[in-house]
Amino acid sequence: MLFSGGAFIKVDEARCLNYLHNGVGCLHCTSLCPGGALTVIEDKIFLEREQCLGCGVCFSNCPTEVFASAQWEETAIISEVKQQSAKTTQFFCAYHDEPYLSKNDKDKGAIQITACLAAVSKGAWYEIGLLTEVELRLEKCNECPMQKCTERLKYSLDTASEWLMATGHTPKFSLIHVPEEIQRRKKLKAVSSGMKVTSRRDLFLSLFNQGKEMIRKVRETGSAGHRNGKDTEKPLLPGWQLRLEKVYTDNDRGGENPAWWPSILKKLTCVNCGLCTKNCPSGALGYQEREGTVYHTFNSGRCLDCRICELFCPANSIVRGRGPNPRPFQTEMIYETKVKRCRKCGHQTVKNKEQLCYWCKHEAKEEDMIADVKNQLLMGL
Amino acid sequence: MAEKEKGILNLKMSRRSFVKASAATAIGAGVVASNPMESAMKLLAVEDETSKKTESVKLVPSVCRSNCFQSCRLYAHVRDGKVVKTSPAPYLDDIYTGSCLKGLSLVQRTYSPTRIKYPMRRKGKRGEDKWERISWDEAISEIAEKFKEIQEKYGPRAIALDTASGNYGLVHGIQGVINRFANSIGCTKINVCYDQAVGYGSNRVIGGGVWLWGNEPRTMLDAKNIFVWGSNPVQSQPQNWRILMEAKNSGAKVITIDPIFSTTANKSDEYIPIVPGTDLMLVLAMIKYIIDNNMIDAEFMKTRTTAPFLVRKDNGMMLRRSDFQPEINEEDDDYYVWDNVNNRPALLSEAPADVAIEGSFTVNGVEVDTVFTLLKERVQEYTLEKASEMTKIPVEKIEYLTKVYCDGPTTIYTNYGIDHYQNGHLWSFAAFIMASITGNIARPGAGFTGLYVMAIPINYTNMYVTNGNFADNRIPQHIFHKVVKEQKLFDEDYPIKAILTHCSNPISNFTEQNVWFNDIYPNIDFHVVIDTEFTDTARYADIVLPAAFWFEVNDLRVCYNNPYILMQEKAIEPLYESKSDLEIVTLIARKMGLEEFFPEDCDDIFWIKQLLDSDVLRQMNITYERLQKEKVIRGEGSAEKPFIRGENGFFTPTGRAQLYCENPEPRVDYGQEISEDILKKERLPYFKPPGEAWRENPLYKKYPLVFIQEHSRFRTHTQWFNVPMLREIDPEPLAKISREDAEERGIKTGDIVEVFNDRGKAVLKAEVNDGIMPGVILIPKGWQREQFIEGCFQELTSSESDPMAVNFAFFDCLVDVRKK
Amino acid sequence: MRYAMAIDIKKCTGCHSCSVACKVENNLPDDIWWNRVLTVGGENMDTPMGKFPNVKMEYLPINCQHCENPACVKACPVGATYKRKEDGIVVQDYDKCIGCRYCMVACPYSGVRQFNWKKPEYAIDIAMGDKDVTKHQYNTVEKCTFCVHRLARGEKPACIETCPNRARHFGDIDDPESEVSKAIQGRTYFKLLEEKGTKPSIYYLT
Repeated sequence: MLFSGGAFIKVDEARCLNYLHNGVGCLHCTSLCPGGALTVIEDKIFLEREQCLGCGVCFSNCPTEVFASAQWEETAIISEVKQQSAKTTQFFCAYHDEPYLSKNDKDKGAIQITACLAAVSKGAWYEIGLLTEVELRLEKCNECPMQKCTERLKYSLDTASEWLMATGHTPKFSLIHVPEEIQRRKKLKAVSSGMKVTSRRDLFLSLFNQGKEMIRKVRETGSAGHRNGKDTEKPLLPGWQLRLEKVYTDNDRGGENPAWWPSILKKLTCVNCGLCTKNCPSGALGYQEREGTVYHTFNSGRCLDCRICELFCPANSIVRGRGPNPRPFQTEMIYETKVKRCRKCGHQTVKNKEQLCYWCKHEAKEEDMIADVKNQLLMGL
Repeated sequence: MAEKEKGILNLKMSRRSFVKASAATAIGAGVVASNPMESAMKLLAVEDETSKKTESVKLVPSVCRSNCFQSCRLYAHVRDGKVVKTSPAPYLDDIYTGSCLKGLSLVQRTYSPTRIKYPMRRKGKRGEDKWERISWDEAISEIAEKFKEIQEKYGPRAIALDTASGNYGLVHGIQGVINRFANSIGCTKINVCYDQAVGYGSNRVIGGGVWLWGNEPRTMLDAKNIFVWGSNPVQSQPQNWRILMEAKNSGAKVITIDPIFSTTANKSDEYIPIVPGTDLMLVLAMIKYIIDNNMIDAEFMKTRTTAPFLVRKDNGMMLRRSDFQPEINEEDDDYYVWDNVNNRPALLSEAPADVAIEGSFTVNGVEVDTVFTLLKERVQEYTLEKASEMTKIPVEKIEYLTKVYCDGPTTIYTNYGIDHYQNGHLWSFAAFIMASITGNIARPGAGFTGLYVMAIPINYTNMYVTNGNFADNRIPQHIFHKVVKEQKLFDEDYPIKAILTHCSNPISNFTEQNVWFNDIYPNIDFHVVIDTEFTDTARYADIVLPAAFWFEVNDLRVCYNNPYILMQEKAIEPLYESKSDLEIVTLIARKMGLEEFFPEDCDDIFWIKQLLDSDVLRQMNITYERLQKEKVIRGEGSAEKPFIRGENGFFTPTGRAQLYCENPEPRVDYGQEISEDILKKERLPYFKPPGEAWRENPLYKKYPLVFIQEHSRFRTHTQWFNVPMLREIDPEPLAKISREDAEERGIKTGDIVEVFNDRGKAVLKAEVNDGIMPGVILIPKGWQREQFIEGCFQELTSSESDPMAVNFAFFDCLVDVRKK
Repeated sequence: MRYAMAIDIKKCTGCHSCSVACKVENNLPDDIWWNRVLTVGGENMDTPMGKFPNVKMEYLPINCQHCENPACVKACPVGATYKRKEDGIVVQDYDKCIGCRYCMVACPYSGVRQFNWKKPEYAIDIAMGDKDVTKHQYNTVEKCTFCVHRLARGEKPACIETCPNRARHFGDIDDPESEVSKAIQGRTYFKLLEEKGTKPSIYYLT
């Protein structure tokens, strides 16, 4: 595996939700890593390269893309799928020596990935699923130390299928566990088609060149497009989610059952402190002010489901959940209220009797502190 | 299919081996493999790393040079050629080591963006505050030319040197090379007229001139009682306060007598409010009480004072041997006392076993009284009741104060609060007498402190004497404007056409500010100001020269209020185009043809050596070499025993404290007329009300508030007026009004008010303050004109002075206040 | 080891030398003060309470109390403020701070935490004070650090050494021989707002 031993993997710890917010308790990567190479120490994520098996599951499953690599660019895979334009494309990992299983598969497209198939994100599977029928070669997984990843792979495929159906497409994902068997799953339609012979040389070249491109970009700009946590220009979204917004919306032909996406409820106890919006890592929450009214907005498709907004809210006014949403990438208004400026610091605040914002209202008062001392010091006056 | 790239791959390789190969080459392609534990280690060790950073900071020995009466030794922390911090530097006696918020904020003064960078010439009309930059050459040439012109046309005295107390140091300060220049050109040196009254009064009793009246502050540790009277050391002398507080914590009783409940009163054991300007009456009543109740220290009076001396009834002069033997030499002359044992007159030198301190006698037909008898007679009218009525202190309280005072050793801690009334010198005359008759002086823990000045025989001659000329210092500051207006000193023609201001800000700090605009400027042609900031005075000048600040020079300092002599070292080069005082004066002097006395290559070290070049100093082991090495050496006193003024005798002809002044003379004789009656009366203290701030003054009906310009802790006079961080704490001037007066006028804290009288006004924010006595209003001094909404506090004061003391009476001022 | 400070109220004259020393040492931006001196008495600085002449005032120098049970640490959503185990100093990490000001709301000691509302501005062009001081950042909270950079060199905090009234003491409260322990010995003292349960480490000696 290209990434074994943690090779080429860059860890941007400032993007980690645990680093950004106490109490988030995001353990996506640590729980998924088959090698147990990931640990959170004092809110920072660490990768022990000696333990890393190179599966790449962390690439696709971290909600803020903490893990990335110059050698790993999903758009290269999608372009290759496009280029091959096969009706069915077979996917296999680097442990497979033979791309073809049988002469029948010669018409199919073939993509070899230098990591575990679970490294491909659900968004990428959605994009791939729009282009081709997918067969995944999982016959070697039983012997593989990264076997644990197949669960996650199946979860990604399930989600991608849900999205494909919600947008009016037919998902066709097949998992091949043994060369002869073709497993059927309820939601998947497996299609067997011929394999297209691809020059092996071309295959790896195309991936390798993309990699070279990324290396050059890294050296020049000092970043692979990743940004630091606090100074981040929002959003802290993974690449696939950024792409998904356009791809999902553009390919939406309207399906029967809308997929489930994150939902939010803002209660009337909201004090308009703006912290949820300010600290939403992905920019799913928005805030507009017009003529003395503020409008709070939410874009479900951008939500990471991190619940930082819920954790932050000083007035316990946010409830996060999940529910069916036919248009997840459409920004909705979730709350509006009239506001006036805090008479002390100028922050826009919910109109309250004292006309003070959350901080100015609740910050300790100097008079109280002095009063506490006055009694002790100036007694008998 | 994409174009095959040539030459990258080995076509014979199998796929698996290719994958491995690409992995191998890519590793070398510069992908950083970080140690996962590195971040953790960095996190935990971050403090240790920073602490190991070597910081090359130089600690340069320096000193704070303002006229706050403290002379705090400082380290200037220099890093990369910049002073980044100041901190207290150690003195030999740890109790003197310290600084205050002003000294600690000096970094912001040094690098203040408001600092004058280049020589400037006035552009528009005077007071328009428009300036153009000129070169040093231009500036010096113009100044030298104009000075020469004026001196040629009107005489050497037509140039007036205005110097005050802005900078203490023997080369670059007010005691330094500016005097050499003034003497060389024979100009007028305006006679300093502030803080003179206390010393003028004490000089009559214990001699030593105007400044040598105080004990070393450490003597307070031996005091049983300390009267803080006419001073606010918590704000004005925080280092002295520390010593006072230590004395208090060791059991000394501290009583503050003040019209204001000052921050010092707040920390004292007792606070005695007193009507402003009536301290004189209080001390006279105390003297009467002491004498009437025989609380005197007879032994001390007999041996250490002139109490037993005999005074002729006919002419009020002491009875001397020469009265009967006019032919004898002066050195053989002697005073008469009354031998109590043998009941006959005796010469002092005969040292009778016991002398009379009270009594009237006849000696060879001449009727005499003892000095003490005259004193007793003089104070008879000052009853407790009269004093109580005037001072508003209850009779029992005055009794109590007197009893406490006599239960000594008692130190009176004073500065120049009472000095600032026209009757100030009489208070100090009386107070020193009171100390003398109770033995509360010249002993451990007793006497006076607040300003302790050392008598170190620095070789000023080397600095001040050049071509035989001397500056004429007859004109006191308080009538300067009159002389300039009329170009006459009484009947004598006295043209004054130019002013050189150095270490001074007269528009802010001298009384009756408007005289500058009304009387002085219309009558002079040229005003040069040497300063570091655009003060009130600098804004009205013709040419302003940028002076180097304190850290930018070497200097020698004989401290006050501590017993040390210091070497101050240059920490940084003069900023921008500023030049040291020495350099500026040298340039002007040389341009005026005085090269002989102002050699070009003589730097401040040269002059320090000159000042220390004396056999007497060498005998005292006060040498340049020693100062160079040790940086701080002791001048007077010792580690074990602080300096006590007069312990081994006073600086008077007999070495005794003089309770009677034979020939009172005005402090400065500038031609003022003083009646014989007054001169005679001044032989002993008597009650005279303040000149203006007095309820029987008809003006009082119009202006019923006494205006006291408080010394704030954020400024020393006008220095530090513009330091950004201090302005953050203390942003604007406030008129502090008593609750009663405020309520009467409908004034609340925060209102804009106008404080006014016939001389001028100040418009500023008000503060209702329960610590202010009704009938008194306070504005902290030091704020510049542009910091007021309108007017300025110094417009209100009067330049009237007592003709004997010749002293500014800042607090002797009546005003009223109204809401704007 | 637990660092603590003792401030002798009887000696304090409200001179503000400690405030200024702190400001210079830590190169504080304009309008930021980690150490302030409040007047306990009348409404304004240096005004007493009561009726003349029976009036009185005291002074209360106040800075971060480096509490043993700090309310701010619990409130910080990103862990930018935390109490060091080795010496008890409550640290503020500017890099982590996101400017939400929850700590300022949680802290009962009004004003000890200061906020950089605008980009730090400095009245003069040079950086004052110590080189090892952390650079100030826009949109972050900052406060007294017990001059941690000086402690690392074995020096006491700047305010301790510059008080002209020698009213401030510092040291390890766990060590009975330390300066602060000795200063407290035999004296009555109070702590601010003890009922809030924050267990501050500043002892005000009376």
